[in-house]
Amino acid sequence: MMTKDSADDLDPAPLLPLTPAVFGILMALADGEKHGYGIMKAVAADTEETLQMGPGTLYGTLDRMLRAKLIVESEGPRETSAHRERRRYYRATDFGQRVVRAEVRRLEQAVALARRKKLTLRPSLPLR
Amino acid sequence: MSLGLAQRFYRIGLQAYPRCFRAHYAEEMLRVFAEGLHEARNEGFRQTVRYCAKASADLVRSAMRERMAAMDGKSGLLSLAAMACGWYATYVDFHATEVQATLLVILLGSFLLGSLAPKRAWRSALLAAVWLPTVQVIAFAMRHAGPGPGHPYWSRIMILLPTLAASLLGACGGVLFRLICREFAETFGSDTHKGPTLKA
Repeated sequence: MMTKDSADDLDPAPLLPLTPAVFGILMALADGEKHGYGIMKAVAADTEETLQMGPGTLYGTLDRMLRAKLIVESEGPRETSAHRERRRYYRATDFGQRVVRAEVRRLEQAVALARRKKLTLRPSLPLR
Repeated sequence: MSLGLAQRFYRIGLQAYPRCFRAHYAEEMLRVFAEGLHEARNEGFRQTVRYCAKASADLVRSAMRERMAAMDGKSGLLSLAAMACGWYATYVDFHATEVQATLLVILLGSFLLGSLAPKRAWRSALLAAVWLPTVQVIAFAMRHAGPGPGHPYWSRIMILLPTLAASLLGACGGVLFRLICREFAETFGSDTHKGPTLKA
């Protein structure tokens, strides 16, 4: 679902670290374009309900991501477009994909450092 | 809980967002809210109430954030000045023995803000007026203030009425003063430029 966009020369570094909401949305859109409610459900499912965004937070974050060229609006799936209601779909841009990869790399480095310092949790311990 | 009623309340709540944000996202937000509400309703009454409470808290939080983001430098300064006026009135209220001193501070502050920015006068008046009752209620809840006449919380909330009246009166006076000044400047200012200028 990656597309060419006008943000090819942009540097992801100034946007890092990403907020949990932005990271969650980019992760949700990594599987393909989604509408608002689809994003909200995907983020909640991906994070095992630890990150539950309301409509206000969701659309506020989407607005900022649109302006930062991390995502763009799309037309939605073609096969259902004749019957579906008019709703906005979003997909990640090339730049958005680069930003989320840079964030994952940053998190990997943090985890590697934590492992070296023996600070990682045992898998049996709960996250919250 | 009626789905239609909850949606109607949510639609009203959307008015708290800045106009341009509302124009872009209000319909989508309402749709997402309705879909979540429908799903929560299938899981039972408790889940529905929980969902509505969460969505309302999210609405208040995000509306404030969007308002702050949409605020330009002048609006921010005016809001700060209005809040400072409210805080000073609260300080005076806690130290003065007469209520007139507090109301005078709010009246004069709102007058000044109204004359500086007539278009945002009502907002400044509201910001200046809400501090005193809010602080009074918090102070009473934290046992920093003695009991008042009547119901302790209601009597403190009711302080909003005189403070709001004073601030709106001051704001209206400020706007009127600004209009009179503009008229005065236009009438007499045009007279002074009637003669030939050096550049002409």
